[in-house]
Amino acid sequence: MQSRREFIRQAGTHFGALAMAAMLQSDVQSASGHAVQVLHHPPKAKRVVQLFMAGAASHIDLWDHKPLLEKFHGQPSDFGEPVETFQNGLGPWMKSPFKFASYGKTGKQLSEVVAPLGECVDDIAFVHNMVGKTGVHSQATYLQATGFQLPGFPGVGAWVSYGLGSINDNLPTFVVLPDHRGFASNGPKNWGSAFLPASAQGTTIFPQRENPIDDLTARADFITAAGDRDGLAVLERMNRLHLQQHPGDSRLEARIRSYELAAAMQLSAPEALDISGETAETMKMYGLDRMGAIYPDKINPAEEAEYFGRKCLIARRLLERGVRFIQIWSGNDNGFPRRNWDSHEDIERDHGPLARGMAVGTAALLKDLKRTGMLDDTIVLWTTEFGRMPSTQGSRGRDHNPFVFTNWMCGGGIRGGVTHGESDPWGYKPLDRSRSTQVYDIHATILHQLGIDHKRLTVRHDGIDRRLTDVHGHVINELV
Amino acid sequence: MLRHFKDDPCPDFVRWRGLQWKASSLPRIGAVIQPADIREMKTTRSLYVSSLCVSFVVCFAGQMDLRCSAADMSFSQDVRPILAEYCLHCHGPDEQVREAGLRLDIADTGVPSAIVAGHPDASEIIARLTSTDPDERMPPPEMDKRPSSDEIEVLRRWIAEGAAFESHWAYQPIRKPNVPSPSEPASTDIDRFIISALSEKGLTLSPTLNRRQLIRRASFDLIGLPPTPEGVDAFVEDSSPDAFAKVIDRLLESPRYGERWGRHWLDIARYADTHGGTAIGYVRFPFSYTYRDYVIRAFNDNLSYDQFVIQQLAADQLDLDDNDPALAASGFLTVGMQFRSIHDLIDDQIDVVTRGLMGMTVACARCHDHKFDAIPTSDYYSLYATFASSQQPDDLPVLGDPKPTAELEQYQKQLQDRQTVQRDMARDQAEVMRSRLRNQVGLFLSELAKGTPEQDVSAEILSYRTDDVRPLALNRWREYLRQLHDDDPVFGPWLKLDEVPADQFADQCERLIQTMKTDNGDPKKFAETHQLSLEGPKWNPRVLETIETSKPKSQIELAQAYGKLFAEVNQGWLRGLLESSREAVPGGEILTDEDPRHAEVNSTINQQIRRHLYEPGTPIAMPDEIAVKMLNRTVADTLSGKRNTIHDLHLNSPGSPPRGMVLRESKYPPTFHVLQRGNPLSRGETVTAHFLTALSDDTARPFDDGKRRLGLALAVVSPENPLTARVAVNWIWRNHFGLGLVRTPDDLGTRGTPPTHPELLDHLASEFVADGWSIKQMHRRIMLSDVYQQSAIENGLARQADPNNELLWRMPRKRLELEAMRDAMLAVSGELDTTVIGGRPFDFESAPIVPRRSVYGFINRDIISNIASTFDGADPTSCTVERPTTIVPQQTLYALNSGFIQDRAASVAALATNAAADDAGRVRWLYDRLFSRPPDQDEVRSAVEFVSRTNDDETSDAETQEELTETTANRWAQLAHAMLASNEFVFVD
Repeated sequence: MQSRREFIRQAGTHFGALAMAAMLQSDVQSASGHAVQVLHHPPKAKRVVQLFMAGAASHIDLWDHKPLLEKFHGQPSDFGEPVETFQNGLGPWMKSPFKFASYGKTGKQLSEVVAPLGECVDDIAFVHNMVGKTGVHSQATYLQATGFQLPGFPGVGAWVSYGLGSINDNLPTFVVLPDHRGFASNGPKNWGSAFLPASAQGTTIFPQRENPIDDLTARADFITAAGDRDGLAVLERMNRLHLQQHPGDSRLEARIRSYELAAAMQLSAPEALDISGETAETMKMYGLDRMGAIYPDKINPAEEAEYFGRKCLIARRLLERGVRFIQIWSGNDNGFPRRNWDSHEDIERDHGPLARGMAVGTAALLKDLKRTGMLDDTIVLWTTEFGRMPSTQGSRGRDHNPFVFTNWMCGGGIRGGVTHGESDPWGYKPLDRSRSTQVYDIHATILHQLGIDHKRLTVRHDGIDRRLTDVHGHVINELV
Repeated sequence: MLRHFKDDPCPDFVRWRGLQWKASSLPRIGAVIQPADIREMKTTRSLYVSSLCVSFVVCFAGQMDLRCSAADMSFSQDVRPILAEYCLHCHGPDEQVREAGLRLDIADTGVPSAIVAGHPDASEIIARLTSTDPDERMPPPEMDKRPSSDEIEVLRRWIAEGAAFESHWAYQPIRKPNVPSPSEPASTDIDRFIISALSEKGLTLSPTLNRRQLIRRASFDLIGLPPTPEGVDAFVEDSSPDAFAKVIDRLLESPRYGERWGRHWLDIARYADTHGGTAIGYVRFPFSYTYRDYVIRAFNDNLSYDQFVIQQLAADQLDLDDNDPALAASGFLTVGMQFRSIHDLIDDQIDVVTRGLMGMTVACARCHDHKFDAIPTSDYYSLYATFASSQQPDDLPVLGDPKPTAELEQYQKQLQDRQTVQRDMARDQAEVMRSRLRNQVGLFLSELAKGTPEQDVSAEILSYRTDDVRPLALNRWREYLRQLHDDDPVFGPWLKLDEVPADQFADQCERLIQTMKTDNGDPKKFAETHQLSLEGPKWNPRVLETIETSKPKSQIELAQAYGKLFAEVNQGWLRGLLESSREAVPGGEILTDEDPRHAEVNSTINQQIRRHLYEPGTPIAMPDEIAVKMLNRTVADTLSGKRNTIHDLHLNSPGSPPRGMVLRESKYPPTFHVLQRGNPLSRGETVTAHFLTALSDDTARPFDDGKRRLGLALAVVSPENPLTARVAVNWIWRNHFGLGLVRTPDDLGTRGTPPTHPELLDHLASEFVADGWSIKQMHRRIMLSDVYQQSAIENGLARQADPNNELLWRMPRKRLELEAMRDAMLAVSGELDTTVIGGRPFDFESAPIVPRRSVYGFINRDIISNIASTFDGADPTSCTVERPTTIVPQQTLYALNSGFIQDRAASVAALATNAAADDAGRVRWLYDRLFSRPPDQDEVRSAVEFVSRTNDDETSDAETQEELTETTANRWAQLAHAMLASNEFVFVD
């Protein structure tokens, strides 16, 4: 708790100040004995964007080229060991239905469906030896989103908000942009605050909805602009009078302040979400040049690009306005027809449009951030639940592969144009099985870039000093 | 004194330094203090900080009486927390990580130089803690923790005074302490404790709260609703001495009381109406509400707390009637998160019982001995064995006698139909599964021969295939063969050849078979297999023959030989059965009983083999409920679809009667083991079901089989267990004061905070037990005290002396929780509907809203509602002992813009308009109703001005009288809205 107070003091801004008032509320807060230092070391990044592919995006069809699969395509698969599968067994080896080509100075091989990211590849650090702990969607989503397989733990964005507080005074610290079709596995629990203060939780924004943020605008008829203003004024008067008569309770002041903040948010959020002032060029870059088009029922790249691109553009606008952590989701829950990355049946059918759409928005975001210089202190993390098998499932789809998958990071002081860790020639497990990368390492690295030692950002819950990285995690020094 | 010192700002430290400065001349604890010593100390001290002289002398001189010497240098209060924070992680009870053989949680002579009693300077612990050398320094630099100089001084003094260890305060028996006699007036025993502690610091209670605010406080505290203006007036005008006592009694008699305190309890019980852990959507409990209603009823009936606990842990073991409503109490154990893994499910039960009822963090000991408290892993698994012996039955008992209605009749009919359909499929498919498994003996033996490691089957993934290895069945084979003796006629060779090296296998096998054949003697003895009287040979001749012909060169080949034989024998049996059945119908060929054509069935030799397939206790002779766990995915999905139709009926049928979410315990539980590092595959020593050793006198006696939970329940509420009563009174206290006497209510262990008033805590705990564990009596005791009735005003001087208000020099102001806030808004708007108590949950989000009390609202564990997460609702993932309290803009957005608050404002405004003839009267009505007080003149003027302002945008456009009326109504609604959103409404003094 002490650490939070210190962090907030460090952040020194309004949301922080508000939360600080709540934290310092003397009747509730007992002092603990030792002070935690201000940021543990000089930060390289201030903000984070996490791109989360729900359903498990295939590493070997997007980022991790496997020529061997082309050679052995169609031949019976042999993993050399019993493999725990998640659906109906393992068919023959299957090459990617997509073509790969090399990009950037390093000649990094990328799939045609993510070709727009070719221009950014020299800024990206790929981690091809990610391993998970489970092939169950919900558990794997929790693991990547919160660092724990079970529910009940704060999302990574909540930890960052908790640790660093806000850098703006009229927008939430942690914003979640869900897939427009709905939530992925576990829904809001992926970005909940759990045992951290509610102020750390993610606020969902559905940019395309009439009410993008809950309760942002009034509903009752009797609320009018003028009345609202008067109503706020009378409320303010009442609260001020009450405060005078009840001194010595910082919560009262904090709540008054939070009304002011809410009012500010009412004004600033619609502005932040309004993309009508963006140039035609920008709109085109984000795949938003055919807004209002009628799309076919079948999943298609243009529609995916529009929805994902819009979230990316909104993300840039929110980052500019001081939102600390943004989580963007692609894909909703694991239903039919597939509107997520869980391509058991047909990689080409689902991964094709989803990836093409994702790549347009993502590339635009990276380039836009780079153009404005914000990429220097903004980390973009691309992640998913787990990878997919190098064999078929007797069809054109792939089963779950928690044994290896890919993450990549870009910006915020992360070294670009590098690959950390490789998968084996099949893309089945890490090449060096004794040295893999886990979500804890990714999280530790991100916190490190933000100036936080992941072992020292703790909060005591149920008698245990909890942290984002549990008892694991190493900063990936090669990438920072 | 030391305790106070710790929380004091600097001047006290100076005072204490004065004492330390003279340490060498100070008497040790236990030494006889001479008056001259006292004088000397007094002189020394007064040289430094004379103003603090009095309290010092009082306390130190008091060392001559017993009470004060104990309180003076408390290991539990002062020393242990420091050791826990800096040392015990590596030098505590956890043997596996203990460094250098040094243990610092108990007196231990493992490293004599660590603590040299009486000599802090000679004690290595001090040297290490203060060292600047990174190699020497403790805690090691990477732990990033340094004790403060104050803390070092405490340790020094403790060592100087003899370094006496004592068991942790919370595990010590509850002693009924003497009630102190403070010089200031005090109304109750509670006040005597509080005021004594305050006056040691020169502090006093705040003035008594005015009656209007007092009844508001009492009303929100006990029933979670504001008082009615009439109730306020009656109390204000009641001059009788027991006026407040009457208010308390009236509130305690209200059914609203159980709804308020029941909700507090549901936080602990991590109550929710859905399973949790569902990846997509959610699954509802059809009967969670029966537990919620049981809890509310228990509070309203003032069920004694010990009975309340016993029923919640073991209602099914109390010989209640089959339909006793108290059976619903078991929901305490069964409404938790439905984890995929049984181990997690049991962990949750252990957690809710130990942390929720006893303030112990036992769940920490799942993987390792507790790092800070005396909770070994074996204790965790003793509790594991207690809970793992129980299961939730498929058929839950109906509670009470449902009225025979047409709806009930229809429900029963549908239930019977759906259960028949489901059972038909389950029975058949279980038989199919067993039948397949009987044909797969070779597959399982081969896996075992290959050395396939055991797989955790607590969360199994279903297969699409019929021919692959079912881990559950493999485990059963593994376990079965492990306990089989090697003189078994069939598996003897298998067991004797186990672990024979590959290069010797063929030879040894050959030799063994020959020896066995010799053992059996003349094979002709067994030739007449159709003879029913034939005795089974020592070694099964078919097994020997099969092995002899196949000449296996490895255990795997041996497995295949066995597999072939088992399949042959089983298929022969199935054919034999079919043929025998044909003899039973006209036209079939009838044979004599011992006809050679009955040999397949009659053969004792075949019987020896078949017994491993059919005899109860063998791997495949498993009950249906286990067999269906191995079904293929499509079959399993269809079957669970049929089960879901029953679930839906329970959930949605209007005739579905309430049922208790009970557990049933096996009278013959299996053996349980410690699971090392929490790994289900890594079984350690066996455990019995027993209570925590730290709370048992010498050895913990095992609970009776079949009544393990009852044994646990009795241990939890046993007079020998000091935790339960302490935790309970602390919980009651906390819900009145906003803060507990122990400020870490779910951790009374070493890592928790010691009580602010240890003796008061014990006083309350002993009175609580003496009152027959009556919660309502405890409310009376607390609420009739001066400390409860004092006001919440700030006091700068007191704040300086006691910044955290630990001594309670003022009443902590409380903010309404989510439920109380919503209910209070409905109450003042006149909409709150309390006609029905209990029943199925209503949906918070429905439109129009359901104006029932929030405790009856649907709680979705899978998809936490926005309002719950925004307003710090209890997170039903696990036991919530303390809700966080945050202030975030989302809350104020809700207060400004939600339809809920706007509609309540409109309703209350409409009431106000009708309540009085003039605007001032209406304003007064609103203040009475919403704030329980009349407005002052300024407030009236300001409000009237607000509602009657005519020159703004809205009214300038209002052309007709109708529009003007509407605009005025809007102004009243806005005023009411501001009042509902105000701090005065949501904070209670």
